[in-house]
Amino acid sequence: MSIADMPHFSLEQVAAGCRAEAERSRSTELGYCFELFRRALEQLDQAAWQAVVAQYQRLILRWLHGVGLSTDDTLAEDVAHEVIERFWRTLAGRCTPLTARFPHVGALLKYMRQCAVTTVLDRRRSERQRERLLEQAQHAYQLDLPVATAGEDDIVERIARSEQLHRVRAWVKAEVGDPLEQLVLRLSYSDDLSPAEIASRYPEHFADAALVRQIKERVLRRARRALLDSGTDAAEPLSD
Amino acid sequence: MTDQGDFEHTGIGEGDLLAYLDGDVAPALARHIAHCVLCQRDLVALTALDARFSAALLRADCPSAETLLEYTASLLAPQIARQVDTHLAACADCRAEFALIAAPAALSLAERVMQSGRNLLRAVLLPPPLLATSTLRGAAPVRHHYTAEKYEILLSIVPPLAPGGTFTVEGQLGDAVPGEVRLLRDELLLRSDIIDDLGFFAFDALAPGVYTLQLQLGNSVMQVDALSVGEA
Repeated sequence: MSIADMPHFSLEQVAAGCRAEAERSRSTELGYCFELFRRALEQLDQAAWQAVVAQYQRLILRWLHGVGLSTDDTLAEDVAHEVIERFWRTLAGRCTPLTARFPHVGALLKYMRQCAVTTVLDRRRSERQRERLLEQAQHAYQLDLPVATAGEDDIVERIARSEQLHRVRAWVKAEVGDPLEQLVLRLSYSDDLSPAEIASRYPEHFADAALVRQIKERVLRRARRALLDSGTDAAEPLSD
Repeated sequence: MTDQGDFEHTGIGEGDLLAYLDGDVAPALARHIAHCVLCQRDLVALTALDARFSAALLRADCPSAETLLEYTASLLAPQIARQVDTHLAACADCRAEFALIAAPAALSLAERVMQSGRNLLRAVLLPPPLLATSTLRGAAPVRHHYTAEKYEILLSIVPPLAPGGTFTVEGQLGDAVPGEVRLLRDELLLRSDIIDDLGFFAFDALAPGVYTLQLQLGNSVMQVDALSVGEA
């Protein structure tokens, strides 16, 4: 058998060749691992894809720990699965021939590692959203609002995981077209500036903090109506 | 309507409540809001909505991490890639994420061992024994003693017979285990040798430099990093 025959090799031969190849220096690679990827991503061969997963799952776990994912083993495996899914979703059937974008297996593994980094970044973004919710809940407690202190994390977690945040974002995208409203929302919620800070930084747009607050109030009132109509419990308190 | 303090509840709007949340209302109004049941109810609802906006709109204008990934790998349509270009120029958060995704990370030897499904054992250099007289002589071999879990290995770096010559690395496993030894430099395989029945192996004609040794022993790989040959 020669390497040129590789497309005709059985999957078992290719997978075994890849396992052996992975143990050797990259300079001696013959292309078994690349062939495995090619079958999975170009031909959408599920068995080949399973062989790819089996071959590289441990490596992905190692990468995840290497890029700062600190979590227990079970959760790490879930995250590794997300990485694998992302790799598949973004490449399968999209790069034909695979060599046009990934000339060798090293390039594919580099991309797989980038998928791992991206998955960790996604989790960090979600974590930052939860922190925002928690900060707001703590602010409510400081104001002695009639909310209980128990179950705070549960509620925040439920909101963060639900579709509520997506609906809020979608509503803003669809319904907030006024440039001043967009600016107030961005500065208030993305950049976390107070109305007084916004007014002092953008005096050409806002004469004072009250005007900023008026615009914010207008948007929130519309949002509450729309989100309640759509079934999103926008006014559910942040704690029980 | 409930009357609290100096204020009628009627006429207090969300703007007042927002100002209260910002700590920016007159003391009398603050007192009213703090004690008015209706205001407190509205405030809870407003806080909840405000919190959702705060979380939902966090980096709302930023491309998703996956879009940054596809941008890094040149998988985006040109028009979208240009939008990401423009956004990156203005957004420090996305630039930092892009840098993390794009950071070069060639597979290390250790990663390749993990990739193969083998157990990587990093050899630990044990402290040298008390100096024997032979080690004080100029051209005597330098000996190192490494251990990794159940394995022990003795390495001798034999200097050249004449100045400018080449070095030899000789090794012996504490217990003779069948296997293969690979010598690498800058992660490239230079040579390999078979561990003989007595646990010996050797590499001769080596230029001075820093090498890596990998001993493939069953399902484990014992790795000796940064083996300095003929270098101070």
